[in-house]
Amino acid sequence: MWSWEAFFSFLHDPLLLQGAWTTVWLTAVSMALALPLAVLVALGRASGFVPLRLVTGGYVWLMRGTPLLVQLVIIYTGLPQLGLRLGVITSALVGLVLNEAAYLSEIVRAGVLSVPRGQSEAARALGMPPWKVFRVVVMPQALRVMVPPLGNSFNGLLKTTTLVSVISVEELLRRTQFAVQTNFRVLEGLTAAALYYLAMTTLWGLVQRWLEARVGRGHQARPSSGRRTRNAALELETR
Amino acid sequence: MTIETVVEAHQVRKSYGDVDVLKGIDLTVRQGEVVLVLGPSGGGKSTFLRTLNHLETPDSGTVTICGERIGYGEKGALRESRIALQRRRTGMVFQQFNLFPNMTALDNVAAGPVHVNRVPRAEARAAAGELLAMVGLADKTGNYPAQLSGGQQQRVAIARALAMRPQLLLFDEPTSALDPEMVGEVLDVMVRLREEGMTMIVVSHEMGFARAAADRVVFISDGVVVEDKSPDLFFAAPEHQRTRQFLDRIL
Repeated sequence: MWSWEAFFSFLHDPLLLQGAWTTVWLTAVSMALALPLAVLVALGRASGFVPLRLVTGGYVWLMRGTPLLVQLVIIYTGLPQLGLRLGVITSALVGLVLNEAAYLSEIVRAGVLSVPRGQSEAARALGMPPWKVFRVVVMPQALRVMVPPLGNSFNGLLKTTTLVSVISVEELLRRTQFAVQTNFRVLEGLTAAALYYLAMTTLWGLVQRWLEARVGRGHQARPSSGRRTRNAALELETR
Repeated sequence: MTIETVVEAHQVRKSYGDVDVLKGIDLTVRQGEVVLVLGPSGGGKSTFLRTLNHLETPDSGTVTICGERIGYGEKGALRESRIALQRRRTGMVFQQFNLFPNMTALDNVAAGPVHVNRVPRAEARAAAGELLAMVGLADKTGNYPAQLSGGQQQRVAIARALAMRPQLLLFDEPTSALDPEMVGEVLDVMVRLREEGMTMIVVSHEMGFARAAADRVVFISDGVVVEDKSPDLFFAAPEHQRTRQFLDRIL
């Protein structure tokens, strides 16, 4: 029997709300740390320096070849055997960041490779040193290609965080399980949790659309009418 | 010596695997000279042009621009970040324009001064606006490259190269990717630059430009300089069989 009353009480249960907040910040922080790491790994894999290429390649191979769940348990429960004891949240962050960065590095690599060679040549011909070529010319154009799959990864990560409940991080799923234990309304509790996830991914979808429009500047541009040109010129003056 | 030497290339060689693309090219260009480089495709002329700013590194030989050896310092081969500093003296215009698609025409032109010379953005944009006006694009400053025709894009690319105040401009087939009716507007800008005394090396098949604006024609085939003379002499009395065959095919 379905109880609407139980369902609604789960929906505004502070236990779940706090759990949802943990899920959001865990995802955001993991992504924010994983992305720069992914750029470094992608650069390492494209490097001419062979040892660096081997190390970064091996890292991606290891992280993508083993389940995150196993990695998390090793980090939290296994490493203390070697004397390395990490807190719950630290363990979760280390696992999520290391794992996510490996996947993101592939997205970064594909993005960088998608920028035509002529772009970096034009930048070099102007006299830009290598890091400026990368930061000013290659990266902004790579981002345009990277944002859709990156957004996809963020969406996935929101849900992947449920795995850290296994090492007792009190994110949304674990909090829901606690709440359910008081009245055993499993269906109502987990439906409420599912709605939370749905709300979070939907909101993210809107953010992603805005991001895509922002990094796509110049690319959707169509030959403009006189009026649009004048507007663009005006906009320039007021900037 | 009253007339300064801008480019001095000596025995420049380059090969890719077994293919010898450049087999020892010599070229001297003085200040204010316009040199047209002609030759069959695959003959090495673009590769040679690109060795002049070390977008291609020669296997051997030397390139000296305004008295400075490119790619090498007192302690041997330079790192890319140091070669970048040397490239500021040389502007380059590409066949495919290679404008930055995510920047407006104005920001394309300002990119060099802002990111290489650290000129304040407002100042660089003001200067960029003047350059765009000079190439006849004063009303297109806010347009993105995708909103411009090929001829307009190439004129923005020329303005972008000029923004660094180069001593030398390299043109790699600047009109080959253009529709015929847009070739003129780009050549006009190049002729005007010549009148202002810009030193230019132009890889191109534009015979009209060769006759109207070139001081010398250099014919490169099979990785060597076959002829190097004034346009009048080059077209009227080519000395070599290879040159005559080439001219027969394209004229």
